[in-house]
Amino acid sequence: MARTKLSDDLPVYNRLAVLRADRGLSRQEVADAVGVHYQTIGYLERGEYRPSLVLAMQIARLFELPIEAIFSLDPLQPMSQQLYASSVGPS
Amino acid sequence: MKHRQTESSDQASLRQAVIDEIADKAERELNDTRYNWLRSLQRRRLLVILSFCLVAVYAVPVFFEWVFVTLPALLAYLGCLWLPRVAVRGITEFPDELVDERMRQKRGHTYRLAFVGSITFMSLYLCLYIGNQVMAKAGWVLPLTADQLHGMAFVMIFASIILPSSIYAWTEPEL
Repeated sequence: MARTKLSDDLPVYNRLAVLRADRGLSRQEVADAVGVHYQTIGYLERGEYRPSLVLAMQIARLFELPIEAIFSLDPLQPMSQQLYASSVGPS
Repeated sequence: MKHRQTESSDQASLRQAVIDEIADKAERELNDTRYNWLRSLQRRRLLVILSFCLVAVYAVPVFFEWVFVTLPALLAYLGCLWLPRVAVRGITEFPDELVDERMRQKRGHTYRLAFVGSITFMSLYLCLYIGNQVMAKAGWVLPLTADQLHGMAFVMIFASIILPSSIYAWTEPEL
């Protein structure tokens, strides 16, 4: 029987770096807004740290987006690709 | 009654003042850039190696009676208590409320490893002591003197004290 993958082994992908660049915010500004150290934002962006639910919700609230638009268990498509696909729509 | 209320409000304000002071200190240290030259991974690891070498140097006079080494080694060791602490921004010492969730998580992991390390040091010490006693009874070696046992105990304690900061400094990719 295959071993069930533990939640600790699952990577969490995010769009934090893209969103931060898009809004013109520094790591320090994001960190201050959500109450963490600026290096933690760096760790999050590089996928080296998975945030708690509270921190994920705070980040989602900061960018005024739903959590699933920022964090995902599956690799995220580039935003431009996703935007273009939704503006063209199904043919 | 009124006196008691005043006393408790004094205590509460004093407690708050202490908490505020620690919070200010933590804020300053966590955002401190003065010692960034010390915070690259390579330099932190060198510092950890240096600290443990100095702990070992402290043990030398106990066995070889080089008393002139004791004081410089002790002073250097005290400096090495401070340097790894600065290199990790004091993260291993601040209360939970003053560090963020990633630091708390990392610190918990560090303390778990440090606990295992300290238990290992203690077990080695006991094994060495028991082994020496057994071998001394058989007439193979001389029994360790009280000074040597005290010296080794201090080395173990010194190593255990710097262990959490050292593990944090060794394992954290970016500080």
